[in-house]
Amino acid sequence: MNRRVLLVSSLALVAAAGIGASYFFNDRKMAETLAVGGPFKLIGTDGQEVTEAALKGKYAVFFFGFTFCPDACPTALNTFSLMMEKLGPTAEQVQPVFVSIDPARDTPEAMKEYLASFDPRIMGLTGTPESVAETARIFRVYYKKSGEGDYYLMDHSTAIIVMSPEYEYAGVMNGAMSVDEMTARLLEIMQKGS
Amino acid sequence: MMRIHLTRFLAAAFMAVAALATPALAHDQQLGDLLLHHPWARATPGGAKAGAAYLRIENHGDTADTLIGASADIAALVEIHMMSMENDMMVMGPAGEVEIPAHGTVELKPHGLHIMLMGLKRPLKEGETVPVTITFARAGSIVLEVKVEAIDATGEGGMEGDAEEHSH
Repeated sequence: MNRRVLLVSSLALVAAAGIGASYFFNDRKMAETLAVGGPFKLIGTDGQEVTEAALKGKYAVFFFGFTFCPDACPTALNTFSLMMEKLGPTAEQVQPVFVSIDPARDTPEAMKEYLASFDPRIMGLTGTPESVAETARIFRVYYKKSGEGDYYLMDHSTAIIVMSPEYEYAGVMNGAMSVDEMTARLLEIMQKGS
Repeated sequence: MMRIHLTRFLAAAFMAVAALATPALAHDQQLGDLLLHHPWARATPGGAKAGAAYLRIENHGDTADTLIGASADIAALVEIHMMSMENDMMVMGPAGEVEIPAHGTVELKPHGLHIMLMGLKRPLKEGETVPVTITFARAGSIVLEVKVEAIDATGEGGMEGDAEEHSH
């Protein structure tokens, strides 16, 4: 008898936990709003301090990468450049941001020189190893040094995170998207937000 | 006299046109049984210290071969690298030795296998040709004429070659 009560009550508990969990995880947008993106303190290409305050009022499109990157990073930055062109006047509401996760090599000067090959509207940010690590943590971007010596590489996530003009998480895109795909996705995110 | 000049002029003009037309097309190089199709690289952004070169390697022989290394004067260190996605992480590193199976094809292309040029001594400029040596265990070495394409190139420039191949 006791055993049966125990079984029934544990089943009820499991069910309750399940309902609770589904409540919590179903509202994924809510969970993401709380968890992805946030305040940062980094250094711009002219050596000045830049915080999230510089981005408010625009859709900020964050890509994390490094200049010693032969493929994915120039591709994503080139896609950003072409997307800005494609957006036309709407581009005024958009601020693409390239954050270095390799601050040891990516000095503000190196970032400036590198970004000169792309759309001038792309903001380049680097910082101290600590401030970059903290920013990546807040944006849920992972990176790891790979190899040794002068020519090490960085393994890193290629997710592109979009923050709303109120500086809240608005959506995510993929660095491997074509210009058309990325532009369409960004417009979709912007429409949803307004 | 005039006639000779005219002939010479026409010959020179023809050669000039031919020379101009060539860089736009996909190009192949041959090393033993290996066909090296359209070696190319993307132009690099300002100050970039790394670049990548790509090509398609076709082995038309009955014996497998192995790509064992690469070198180039333009970079301090050249290695065959693999880029892959693991749980949304872009992971890069040396690919080790790459086998080219008998009658098989290995493609070096963006978002995959590539010749990684590290410590570039100068940027790769669109339109130029850069020599890069690759070495196979059996076939030996060859100096690839790597064509530098636009910063947003995808390697689709090699498509003419594909079309020709499928037609025979």
